[in-house]
Amino acid sequence: MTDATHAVTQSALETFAKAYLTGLGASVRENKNQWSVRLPNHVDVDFVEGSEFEVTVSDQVATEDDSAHLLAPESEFTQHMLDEAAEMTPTGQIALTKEATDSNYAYPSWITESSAEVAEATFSPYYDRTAVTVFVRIGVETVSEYQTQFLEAVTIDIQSRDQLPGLTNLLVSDYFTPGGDQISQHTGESLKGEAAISSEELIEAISDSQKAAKSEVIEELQDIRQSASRAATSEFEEYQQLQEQRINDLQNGISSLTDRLQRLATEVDEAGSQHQRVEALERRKEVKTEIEALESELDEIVQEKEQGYSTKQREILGRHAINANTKPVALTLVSYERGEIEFNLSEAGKQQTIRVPYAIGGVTDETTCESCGERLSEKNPIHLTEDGIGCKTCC
Amino acid sequence: MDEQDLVDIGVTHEDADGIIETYSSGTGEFSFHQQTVIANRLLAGQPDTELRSLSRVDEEEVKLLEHQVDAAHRALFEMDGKALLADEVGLGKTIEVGMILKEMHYRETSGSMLILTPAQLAKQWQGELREKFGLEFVCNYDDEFQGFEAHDRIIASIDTAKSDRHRATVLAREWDVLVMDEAHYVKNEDTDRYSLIDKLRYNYAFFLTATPIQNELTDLYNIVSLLRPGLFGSRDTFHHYFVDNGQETLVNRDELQRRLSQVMIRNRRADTDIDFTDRIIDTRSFEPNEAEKELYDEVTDYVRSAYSMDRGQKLVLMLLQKEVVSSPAALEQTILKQLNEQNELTHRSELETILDKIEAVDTVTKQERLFDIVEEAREHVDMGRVIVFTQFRPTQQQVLEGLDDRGYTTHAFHGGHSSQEKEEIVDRFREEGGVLVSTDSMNEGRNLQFTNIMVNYDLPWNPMKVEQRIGRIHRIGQKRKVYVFNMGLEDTIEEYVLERLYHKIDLFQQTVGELSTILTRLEDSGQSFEDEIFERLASADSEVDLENDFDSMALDLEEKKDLSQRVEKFNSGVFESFDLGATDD
Repeated sequence: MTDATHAVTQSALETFAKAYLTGLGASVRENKNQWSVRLPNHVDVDFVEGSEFEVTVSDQVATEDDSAHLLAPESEFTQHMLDEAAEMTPTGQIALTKEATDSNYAYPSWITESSAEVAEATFSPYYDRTAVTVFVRIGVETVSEYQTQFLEAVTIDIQSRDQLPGLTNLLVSDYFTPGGDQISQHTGESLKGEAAISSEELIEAISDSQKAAKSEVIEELQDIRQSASRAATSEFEEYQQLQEQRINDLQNGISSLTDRLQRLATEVDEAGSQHQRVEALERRKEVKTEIEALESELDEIVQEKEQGYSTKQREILGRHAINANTKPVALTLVSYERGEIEFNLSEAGKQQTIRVPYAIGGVTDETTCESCGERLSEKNPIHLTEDGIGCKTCC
Repeated sequence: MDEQDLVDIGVTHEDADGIIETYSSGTGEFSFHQQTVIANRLLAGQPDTELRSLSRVDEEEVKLLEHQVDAAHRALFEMDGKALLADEVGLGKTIEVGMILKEMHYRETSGSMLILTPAQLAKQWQGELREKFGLEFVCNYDDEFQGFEAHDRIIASIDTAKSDRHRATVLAREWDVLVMDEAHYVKNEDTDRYSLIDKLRYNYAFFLTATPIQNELTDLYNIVSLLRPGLFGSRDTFHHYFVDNGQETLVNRDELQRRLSQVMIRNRRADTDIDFTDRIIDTRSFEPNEAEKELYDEVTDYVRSAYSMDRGQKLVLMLLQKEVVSSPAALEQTILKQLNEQNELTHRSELETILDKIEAVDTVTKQERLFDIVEEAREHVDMGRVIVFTQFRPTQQQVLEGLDDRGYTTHAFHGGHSSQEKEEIVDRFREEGGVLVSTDSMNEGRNLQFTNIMVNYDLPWNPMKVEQRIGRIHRIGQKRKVYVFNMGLEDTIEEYVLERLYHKIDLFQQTVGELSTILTRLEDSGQSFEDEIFERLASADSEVDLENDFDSMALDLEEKKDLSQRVEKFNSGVFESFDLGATDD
């Protein structure tokens, strides 16, 4: 699994835009930071009107020339173009062979972290296998923050359903990077008939990759959850404070109305005339009603308070709940070679050879030390001895 | 936070119908698919405004402070890579630039870099960028420097760059990054320096100065206009709008600050947590013994007479005059070299007399007195760590032998060591303690804050070098009081330099970096400090003359210091409450 997000730099955008536009058949004439673009008549795009347009290439926010489209991180034009390109061709296929990768092999960490040098590496492919690389977008929505997005790339072998992280890294860094390798330079051939896979297999692989992608970002999700919970807590605390304030206000209100009621009672008793008495009685009734209303509100709040405002708390927590959504946005069918790789290693004048299972992208199986059986790893790298091959643990 | 206080989290896996359908109808051309995946990657990515190289800065070598990281970030991402870094002195502007350059290097946006500095700071820049940020630059004073067209990363003195010999090649290139230290060097639009920077072509530029205004507000206009032409409009508009012509005072300050905040970063000491510890200066003058006195007089007489007759010998004569107060060993080496190399030497007999007088020196007074200081340190300081600085290798050797004989733990540090060796020596000194005897090659950006006692066994005639020595231990991160011992011989040039010049300008109490503004003024007026000293010494007819001469030089320096302080006050006025993050208007 690989984090497949790419930093939105000016140079990445320019490289992408040029490749995308020329891929659409456009001619791009550059004059300093101004591009004059002409699209072929038959090409219909939505991110821009008309077939001829000007693009200002600049990471400066302001552009004085409104007629030109601004190619810069977060500009409207950039966003529209990316949106359109992101949905254009969500599926593709590639054959990764020894030749296609120019015999550039990925050495395992138990070699790169060791003192041994690879004098020669020879890969012998035995058979072709098919895998699918799924790009999974994970969107996380909360009420307190902007939507967060992740993009994870997961490669799954169709037959074994094992994940192939080395292959993912190779694809993402060499083929799916702005300015990365153009496939036509290596191979344009489609996958052979037997490499094609059924919809059922594909659905299973996609489902696996969605789950794997979610696991990969679980820590980030927990962080988001913590921060959303903090936002909810502070909203709830604010609510509690407001209610406390309200209780105070109500108590004060009731108290002053009660005083007024007392005064009205005196007025009733000491009324000089019937008319005055009736008026005082009416006012007393009004005040009593007001007091009852306030008391009723106060009772309600106090009752809520005794229950810890649990209803409100649930409501706030519910509103801050997080919904994470995984969506497969692109997939690449990969035919790749598996076999064995032979590393000729040298270390301090000693030379040894080791053969291990390998697929394009990296060593596939766990490798153990020939001497002690301990698993080789970044922390337990290989070590050459006079007699053979050992590791950090046993040498 | 308790589990019941956490909000719910729900994960929905959207079905894959859409993509399966696309797959069923046939996969698309790979080149289009590539663009689709890349577009998705960019859509999910963040605008890249983090200092990604930060984690690669070696924390052992440099402790980054918050205001420095902030300045580097703003210069790169908010000012589009064109900024005037105008922190007050001593806050680490070099560090800020180092971070910026490292980040640009990391992002591969810095193919060619040109750093222009005052001549005396070029090597220091080179050392600091190498030691602290792992960035290798060629300096125009290096043997391997082959011109401005031959290297991609160059540190050069601005005067070398503007010289007839190099100007055309400097201007012929388009530089990715231009850094200009002490940017007030280009405050005057009528100078060759200004014209050079004005004509230079570059994509990113970082100018540094602690005093954006040296004399008048126009200085600021000139510097800023090089970075951001048009920010202040025309010169007349600027004057009209910001300067009250009647009284030459500032008007519309808020607007000035608002515009400046688009291009200038100014951290002030008061806004940071940095607190420099006290610096205790202990200058000890010793009466030389008879033999040393005779030797000094002999050498001084020789230097005066030789200089009056043969001016071509100036550098050697200057060297002799410095060495005689450093150690007989240093002097002897140069005299022997003169005698051996120059067969037709006109002053052979005088030189031989000097040699005789050197041999007559049995006891070296300074060396004896040094033991007192070292012994005091051993009694009072953790592991007795002391750094002794000298300008000369033979002196270093003599001092080391003397200390070794008395059983002190010693370490030698000089320019002949490789970087790796230098690192090991400093590590050993840290671990074992004792006395580190170093030549001025120690100036290359080494951090020695774990020591707080240093001895100037002899004194460079260039105050900048003295400050650099002190700066090795008295810098950000030093937690203890710093003790600086100056050793001088009475009635010698050393005493004049120490007492009449350095103490007059409070050299030893200058905050780190303050001195450069004084020296820049001196340099601007076409003088060299060392030349001045030597000329006065060699030309004085009498003791009284000499005293008067040094007094007038001190007076001149004091005036420059006063001027610097007045300008600093004016700067404070202009930038008072300079809002570091002014975005709300």
